Amino acid sequence: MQLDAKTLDTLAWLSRLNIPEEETEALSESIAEMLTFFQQLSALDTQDVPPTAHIAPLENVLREDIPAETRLDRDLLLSGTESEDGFITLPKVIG
Amino acid sequence: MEYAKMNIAELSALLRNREVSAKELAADALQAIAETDGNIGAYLTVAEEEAYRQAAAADEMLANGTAGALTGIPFAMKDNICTKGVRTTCASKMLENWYPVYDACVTERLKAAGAVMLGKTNMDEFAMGSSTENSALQITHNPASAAHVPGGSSGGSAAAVAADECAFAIGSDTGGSIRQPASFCGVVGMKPTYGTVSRYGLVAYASSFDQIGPLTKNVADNAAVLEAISCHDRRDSTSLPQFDTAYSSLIGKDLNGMRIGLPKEYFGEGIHPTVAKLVRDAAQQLEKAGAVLEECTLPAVSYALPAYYVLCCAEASSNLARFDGIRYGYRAQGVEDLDQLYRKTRTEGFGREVRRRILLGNYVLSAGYYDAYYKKAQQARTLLIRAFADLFGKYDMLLTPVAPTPAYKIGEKSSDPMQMALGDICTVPVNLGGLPAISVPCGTAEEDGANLPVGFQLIGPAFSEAKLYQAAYAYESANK
Amino acid sequence: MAKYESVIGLEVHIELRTKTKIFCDCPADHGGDPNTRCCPVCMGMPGTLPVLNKQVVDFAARAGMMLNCEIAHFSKMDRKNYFYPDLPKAYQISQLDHPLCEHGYIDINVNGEEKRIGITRIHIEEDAGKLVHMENGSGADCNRCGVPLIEIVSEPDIRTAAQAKAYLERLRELVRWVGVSDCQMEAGSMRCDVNLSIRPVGDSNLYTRSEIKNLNSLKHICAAIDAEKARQIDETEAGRELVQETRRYDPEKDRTYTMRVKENANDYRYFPDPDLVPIILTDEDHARLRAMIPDLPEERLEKYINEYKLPESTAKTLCDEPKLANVYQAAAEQVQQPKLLANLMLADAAAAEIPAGVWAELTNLCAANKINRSAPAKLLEAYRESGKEIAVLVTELGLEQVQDTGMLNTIADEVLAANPKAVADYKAGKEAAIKALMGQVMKRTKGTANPQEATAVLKEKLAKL
Repeated sequence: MQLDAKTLDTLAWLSRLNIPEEETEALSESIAEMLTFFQQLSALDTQDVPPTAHIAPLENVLREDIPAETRLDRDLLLSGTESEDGFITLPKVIG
Repeated sequence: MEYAKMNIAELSALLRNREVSAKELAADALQAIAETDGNIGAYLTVAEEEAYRQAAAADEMLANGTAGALTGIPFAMKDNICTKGVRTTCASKMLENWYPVYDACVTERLKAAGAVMLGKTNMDEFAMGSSTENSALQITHNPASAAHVPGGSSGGSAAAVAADECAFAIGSDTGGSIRQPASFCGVVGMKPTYGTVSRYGLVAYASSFDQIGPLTKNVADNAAVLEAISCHDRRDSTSLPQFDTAYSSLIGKDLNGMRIGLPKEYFGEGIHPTVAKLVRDAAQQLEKAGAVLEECTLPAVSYALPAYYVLCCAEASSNLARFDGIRYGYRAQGVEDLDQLYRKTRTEGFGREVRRRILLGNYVLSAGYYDAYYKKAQQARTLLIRAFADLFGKYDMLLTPVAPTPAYKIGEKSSDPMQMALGDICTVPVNLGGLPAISVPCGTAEEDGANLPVGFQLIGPAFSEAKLYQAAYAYESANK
Repeated sequence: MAKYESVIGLEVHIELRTKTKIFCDCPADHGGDPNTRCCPVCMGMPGTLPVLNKQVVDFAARAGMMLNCEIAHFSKMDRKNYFYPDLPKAYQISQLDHPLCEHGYIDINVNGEEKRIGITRIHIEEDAGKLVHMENGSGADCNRCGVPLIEIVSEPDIRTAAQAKAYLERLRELVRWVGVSDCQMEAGSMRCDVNLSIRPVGDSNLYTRSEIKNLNSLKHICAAIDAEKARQIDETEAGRELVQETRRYDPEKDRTYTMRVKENANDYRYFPDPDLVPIILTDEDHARLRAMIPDLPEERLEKYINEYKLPESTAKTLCDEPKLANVYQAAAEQVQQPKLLANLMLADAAAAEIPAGVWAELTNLCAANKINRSAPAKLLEAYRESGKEIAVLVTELGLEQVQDTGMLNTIADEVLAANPKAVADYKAGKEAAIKALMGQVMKRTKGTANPQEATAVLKEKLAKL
């Protein structure tokens, strides 16, 4: 089984990935295989079963609205980043 | 290299008695790495300068009486945990030259304890894998047999401990990434209760599963390291506010009356006969030590694997979206527009398995599929949590294999992600439940002319670490 | 030709006036050099985690109460996934299916016609950063990343530009009034997107709508609504099908235009943020927040005029500035003379910065003739400088009114003896001469004499001369 080309294309767009041509076949087969595997779940009776989003029994983890006393220097924050005049540089964004 | 084989307790005694300094220990360990790691490949970065700096601080602590159990002890850190100023790659081309500007909570804790970090260990890229073969940077060999994988994703950490290239190592476990390599390499590995070790500074793979834990040469060491790294951290909203960290408190106590369940689903089809035998032998040892053993059943295990992969891939697809070539890490060259920058950076920067999981994650979260996959998996998670809760009403802990097989050969499964995934069957239910579980060595299996370590797993309810250590220690001392 | 009406819903983003950002302790206020108000957390560096600011929850709930919403007992944070260079994590932490507030409304009045505009929901989320044009491309500044926002989504109850304007004005007034944002459209702390479709009058169906983004003034919003309505009518009349799309408004050409349409539609792949735990608001929390909700501005105005007997202009001045009004209200509850309080406060340029308790104390001291009317200005100056208690400052500056008639008698005698000309003038019928004598008394008492008392003593003595 393979994933159809259009679906793979949409996924690649959502993931901001290219699918190298030599990987296309193996990748769509492998994704399709995993999806089939996932479908085992459909046999499960989950009526009235609440979904678990968090595993730690916590609620209302909140911080007070108090500013930090010290902050990292911009030079340090942007070390390893392409930047100019304090801005992070990137290709021209249209729009 | 006279100290390399020693465990934490032994080294700590020598340090306290001034028979050796932290600096000498660091030098000894660095020498061990220099001599051994060429054949193992456990380390991605050896941080010599950093190690000596921390050793100097440790010697000061030893001199002024502020030393603790880990002061001066050399260790290795998995390369997905942030270390300020020390390269943190996640074994990915994406972060090959990334130097964090901050320390993870665990890094801070270990520094404060005076432990001496020798370097950063290899892993499957972004912790996605079970053999460390998905590292984009190097191969790690199993110290027991160079032809075999060390397991993963914390393969470098497990191999470093097993090869005596450090006294202990820190790993992370999302679906078995501490326990399985511990089993493959013959060391002790603990995945603690979700929320007991801060995730602040752990580069996220699947946030609701990831948990940091120790890999050590023995059980008592493991408890000592966990005591040092677990704490409440207000920078991690999922960090638990209050719990008992006296993990060593039950070590040495007898097991009389301890109830241990053996879920039969873990011993069925697909489990290597030698593995099954070694784990059953371990169970008998525990029975001799006073525990009450009983077969039990956990049918929910059958859907743990698909549920785990759906949820992990979904969280990963979002967690790894930030690697877009703009602020940090790899940036593709020769691109003209933003879309190209994103796509080229991510295609070149991520390895095949990482890209595959991102695609899968985006599939299960996308419009029209969310309920069938993502929500269904969350519900399956609830059912599994309930099933565990039922069993822990009857048993103090469960005993299972860690992996269906001993370590396999390098290259044997790496081309078949599904085969690789099926190897996680014994470990992932624990992460779905946020439970603590420990992997303890219990012998070796002879395969392909090599003696490959095998471990058993003890799974307990939340906060049962002290009890797990108690049982693991009882087994360990009966088999010295 | 069929007659059409617009069906309009508004999405309004408002920055909350917290001290720190929503998920980290960086400052949330405007300004600063690029990338100087950010940290590893709001820059989305690997390994960092968000922790929710309590004040954001409180402020959003208070805004919701002011806008007649039901406040959730259970709420949670979700991730909205999309790539954009101003969004460091490539997901925005927002709320999908359990927003903090739902089912509210705003009553508006346009040309004497009352109308209730429904509010579907209010949720909290983080702001993105800023992009600037640079010589060879674009530049990103993360200072705004993580600034707390509320998004207020209206029902499609609005029909005209005038109604939209009235809704936004009232919304702004109420949110400012409850004190959680300054809602400055020009400064970007209030932003509005318009959803608009048309239909024949009398039809109750909803048709294909367009969304007009990035409107930053009331004027543009109204103009964009009119222009988009006209465009949709033209398209429909010409038999062309409308498509659901995002558009922008060009004020120079007074028309809307399509933003670049992407091949693939956005799919935000929302899911619960595993890094943030649920928000639970108990009945006690609701009550605590409810107690902080002020009366409606018009109710206050009426109270000030009718009950406190303030001149209308004074009352309006007070109610115009929500922070001032809140300080006044709190102080007024502690004094007998709200009018005196109002006068004292309006004489001070930065009255809202002074705590209500201080204003009440000053008013009560004046009212009891314990200090002179000239004293509050001096006391406020000293208070701003030292922060000391007013009672302490009164003593330190020697501003207690002299009530001691014995001492006043002595000083009056001295003054009369020293100013024979003024005495003679007074005696000659120039009553104004007493002012000069009063001035001398005040000078000798350093302004602490009770004026009525001192005048009486002087007059008595002059009469005897």
